[in-house]
Amino acid sequence: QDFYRNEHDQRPYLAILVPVYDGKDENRAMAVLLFRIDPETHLYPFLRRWPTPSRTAETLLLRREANDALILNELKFRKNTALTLRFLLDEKSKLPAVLAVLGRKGIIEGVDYRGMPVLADVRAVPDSPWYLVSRMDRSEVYAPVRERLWGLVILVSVLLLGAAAGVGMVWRQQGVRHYRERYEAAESLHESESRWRILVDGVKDYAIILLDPGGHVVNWNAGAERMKGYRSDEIIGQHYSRFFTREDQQENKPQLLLAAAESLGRTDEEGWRERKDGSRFWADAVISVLRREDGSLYGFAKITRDLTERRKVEEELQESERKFRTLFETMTEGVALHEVVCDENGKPVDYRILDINPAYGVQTGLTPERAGCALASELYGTGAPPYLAEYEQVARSGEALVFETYFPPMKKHFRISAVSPKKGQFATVFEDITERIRREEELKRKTAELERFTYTISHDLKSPLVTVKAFLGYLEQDLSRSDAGRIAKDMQYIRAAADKMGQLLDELLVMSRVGRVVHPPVCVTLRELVGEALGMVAGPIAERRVEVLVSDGDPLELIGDRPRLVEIWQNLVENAVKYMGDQASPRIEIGTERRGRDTVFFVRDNGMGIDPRHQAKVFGMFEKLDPASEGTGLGLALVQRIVELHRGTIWLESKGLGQGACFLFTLPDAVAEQAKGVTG
Amino acid sequence: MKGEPLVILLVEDDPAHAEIVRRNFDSFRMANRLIHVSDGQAALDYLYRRGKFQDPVGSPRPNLVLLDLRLPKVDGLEVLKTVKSDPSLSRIPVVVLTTSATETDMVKAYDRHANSYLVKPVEFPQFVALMDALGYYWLAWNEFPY
Repeated sequence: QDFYRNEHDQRPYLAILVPVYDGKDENRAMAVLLFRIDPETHLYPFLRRWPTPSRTAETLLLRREANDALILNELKFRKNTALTLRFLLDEKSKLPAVLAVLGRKGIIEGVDYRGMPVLADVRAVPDSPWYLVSRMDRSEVYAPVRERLWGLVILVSVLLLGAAAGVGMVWRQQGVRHYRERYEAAESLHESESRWRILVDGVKDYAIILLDPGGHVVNWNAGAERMKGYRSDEIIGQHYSRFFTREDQQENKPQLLLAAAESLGRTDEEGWRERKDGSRFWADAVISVLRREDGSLYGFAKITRDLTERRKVEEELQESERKFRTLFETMTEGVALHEVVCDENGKPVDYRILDINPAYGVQTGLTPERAGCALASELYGTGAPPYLAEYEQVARSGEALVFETYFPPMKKHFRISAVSPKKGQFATVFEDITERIRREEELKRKTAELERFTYTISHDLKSPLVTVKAFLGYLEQDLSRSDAGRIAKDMQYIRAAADKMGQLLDELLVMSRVGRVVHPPVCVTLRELVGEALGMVAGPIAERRVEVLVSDGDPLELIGDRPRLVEIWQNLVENAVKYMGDQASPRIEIGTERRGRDTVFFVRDNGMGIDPRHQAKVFGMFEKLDPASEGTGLGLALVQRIVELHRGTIWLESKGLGQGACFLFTLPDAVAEQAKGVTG
Repeated sequence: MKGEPLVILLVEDDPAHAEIVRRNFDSFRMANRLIHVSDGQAALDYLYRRGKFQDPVGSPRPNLVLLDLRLPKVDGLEVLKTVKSDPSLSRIPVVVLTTSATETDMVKAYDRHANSYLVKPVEFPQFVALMDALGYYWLAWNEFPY
């Protein structure tokens, strides 16, 4: 088998000869089978594609013919090579085809038929005369390596460039930051300075002045300009002594102050200063010494404040304080300042006097020495501090409280205003209203009496009138009927009613005379008065056989309206006789007794007595307990009026019906007058 | 218990006024019994059957009280208050009959639940007319619970 070139068409073919041997004689060929294969159809396309599709790679099939290597296939880069192209078998040849035929095997480097450096895989085709060379241009083999190398180079270059750019950027940023920091530092310094400037200039109420060591103005703020009245350009460089008054300048005060500041560190002084226009103001000036770090004198800071207004206010306050103090000292109302005292649990238990005015001393009899710091519970002798709850509320809430009260230890009525000047303290203003209360009570009584009068007119006087008119009517009827018995009765009723009316009018007149018609006061003994009264009631006393006992152990003298005073005993004795009841041995006792500081007069009987339920009514005008009794019920009302005119009181003591009655009364004015007369 | 005489308690301290009321009531044609006491204490004693008024036959429960205000011992307003605040007496009609025309007395009387308030007229014909009207109204027309 081998390639050959056909003589007729000049084309290469591959022929395979297969001898057919005789079965019996294996060395004898009986025939030969010839297979002709067109390599152009079956082999070359395969070789052209093999080993890989490539731009330069190709496969060469060749055989040895004599001293040549003969190419058996068609080549990529030369036409008509099959069975025509041959190379001389030279040991020094670099052709892979030659080296293959010469027996080399494996990968070799060489130069191909075109003269190009190639890499080739060479080997013999086993069991044939053929050799196979697969070759590829070195350029193609190394192309990927070169590409990678270039890639590497580019990569490294890019990295280098990137690094350089990074370093450059960092450098640049460092630079920017550096410059920014420097800018910001400068800016903040500027801002800090301007803030200080704004602050110093913004302080309008203080003049802030920087002085050099000699006392010349180096700088000042807007406040100083405002206070002193100079413009900055007028004053900078000038000596600060021009702010002082002429007198102070003459006394060398500016220099003395600086010297003092230098030695003491600072001076603080209040005094008059002068503005540019010559007007003065009261200044509080502080001069502080300023030193450098090495201790040398840099200058002075002078801070001045205008205290004119405050001084004025202080003076006004002092004046006001003086005025109020004078008021406090001279006012007629008693004023006391107190402080609430609490126990350890914070519970208010007492209060302490802090200050009292003279009027308070007069009202209470306390002196500032005794009252000062004393506890109320001890001072007033009441045991418990008076009105503590009320005062404590005022001191706690701060709300003023006004109340009127009767203070038994002093037997006086007070109107007390309590105010709280500060928490925990209270001031009380005392007004002695005893007299006012007395007058109010008197007025109340008078009003009640007046109402009684009115009522009397409308009722008691009307009553007999009704009787008169009614029985006149009956009288007419009875006259027409000539009923003699009825006529007599009618006329009796009419007469009784008319008499009662007359009596009422008389007694009203007597009543109205009490306190209106006043006899000149005279000095008279109790015995005389009682004697005169008994004389006027002598008839009934004798008639009822009443025993009258007058006890005058203490020969008492009274001063007053004698007829009125007599009326007291006259009415009381008359009453006692009238209501003696069925007492077998009627007795009346008249005398006095001491009850505390009061002289109490009494008229006691052993008669009917008065039911306690009715005792309140007995002093009422025209009140009668027994409608059948004589009189109009005016007697006791009259007595009460006379007693009250002498600032006294009258009351009744009776255990009840059948127990007798005792009328007791005081006459302070009549007795007090007498006391005065004795001492006078 | 119609047919039995109606009992009227007259509380009046002025004997003349009591006589006027009595004469008027005597002239009525219907049976009635006028009992007169002259002060507030006696009125209360009567109503509560105390002291001399203990006998229920001699001191029967009144159907009507004619009450003066100005009375000795216990005054009329006090009597009125006691009667009207006691459930056992409060249904007895109480007619105030007084000379006082003052408003305070009227107010006080009505505040204490007086059933009527009459002022004694000064003129005789009016007094008689009032007593007639009072008698007809309270004795003939008015119904009393028993």
